[in-house]
Amino acid sequence: MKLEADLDLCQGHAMCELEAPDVFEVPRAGKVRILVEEPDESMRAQVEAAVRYCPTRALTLGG
Amino acid sequence: MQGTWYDPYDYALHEDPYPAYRRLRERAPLYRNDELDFWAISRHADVSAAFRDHERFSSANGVSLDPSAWGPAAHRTMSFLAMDPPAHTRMRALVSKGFTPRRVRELEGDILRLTRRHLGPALEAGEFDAVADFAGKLPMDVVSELMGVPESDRDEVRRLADLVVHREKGLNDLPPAGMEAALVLAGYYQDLVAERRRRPRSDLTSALLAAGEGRDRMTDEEVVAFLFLMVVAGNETTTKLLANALYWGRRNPDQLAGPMADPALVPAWVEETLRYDTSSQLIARTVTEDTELHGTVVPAGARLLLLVGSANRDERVFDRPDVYDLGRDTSALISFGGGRHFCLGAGLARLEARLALTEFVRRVRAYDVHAERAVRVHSVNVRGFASLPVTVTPR
Repeated sequence: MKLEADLDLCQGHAMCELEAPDVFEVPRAGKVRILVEEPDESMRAQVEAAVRYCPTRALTLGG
Repeated sequence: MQGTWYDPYDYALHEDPYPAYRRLRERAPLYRNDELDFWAISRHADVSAAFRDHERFSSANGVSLDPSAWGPAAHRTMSFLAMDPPAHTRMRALVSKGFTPRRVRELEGDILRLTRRHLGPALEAGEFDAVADFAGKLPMDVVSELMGVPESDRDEVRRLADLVVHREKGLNDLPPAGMEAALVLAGYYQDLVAERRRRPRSDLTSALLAAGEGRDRMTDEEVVAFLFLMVVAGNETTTKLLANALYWGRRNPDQLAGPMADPALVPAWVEETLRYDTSSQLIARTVTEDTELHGTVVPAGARLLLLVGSANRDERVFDRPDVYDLGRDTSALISFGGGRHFCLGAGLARLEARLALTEFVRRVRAYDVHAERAVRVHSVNVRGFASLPVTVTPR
């Protein structure tokens, strides 16, 4: 499971941080920071929710 | 726009607006209503593009068709929902410092506690009104919890909020009782803000007062406007979402069987309800410059409706859009808007709906909806039930 963020798309709505706080951090009025690029399989559900609920589709999950 | 008519005030339309939306998408993707003085776009591509283009499609007059909520003063009760950059950018940045993902996440235990408080007695009664006894209580209590409204005031605050969002038959605006309630509620929030200014606590109201960018802070009026926004935008929409999920679930028993058997499917139930019958059916914008859409120039200053409810049923984006299907890909839904104005409370709404409906399926084996006694809300912006009688069989 490998995560990527497109910072041109990110608008800092922080939905990902709400879904998976150990994996994403969005500084206030900033853009997403991926804290764990290859999160553990045990986090799949919350990581997938973060990708799915991103309003600007800035996140992709590969592998 | 031959033979195509769309009037968001029409009670017959409120029963089922989707055939009208389909006609608009097909025959009049840019629709003009001279009598009510608005334009409307209904296709997914157009609505989502308009959401992202805040320069041409301004929010400065607010986003609601209600005459009392339209105009340059809209931001006083709708905060940054009724602003453009740079005012919007400033306010959203300040609010984001208080309304953080962490703060929302930390509400989880409170949401569950409040869900059980309202659902418990209702389930014991066996038959109840899903709106009056449950869906209409939970979201406002969650808003109060977040703001720091003391428990002892919450029933009264909820009563006032209900009056503010209530609509009366034949009246296309906030009724006088609602105006009065809005003033009382604003006064209550002013007192709350003044109190937290003196003695800050750990609640959102205190966090908003403390939030700063350099030396810039929100004024008391700005904090009150944001608290009020949570009542008008964050409360009623979630009420409608919960009852719409119960209603459409029961109308589609083969789909409901999934989450009833496996609570892990509740998020899919929430998402498909958000797509299929969204609480916020339309959002208004003001066109800032002459803009050509589908071959017609919409003049600067015009009011343009973004028909979100229609976009979510656009056959260009969703396969068999009129089928309620929990297994479908709902990622293109635009129920929470898009662009800079993307709903700040989307995460809270989803969290609340998931927790409340998960608790519901854990405790209920089967339920019936008495559609013949259900009452719809007649609001131009919001779609859902004012009353939805249900009978439940507990597990």
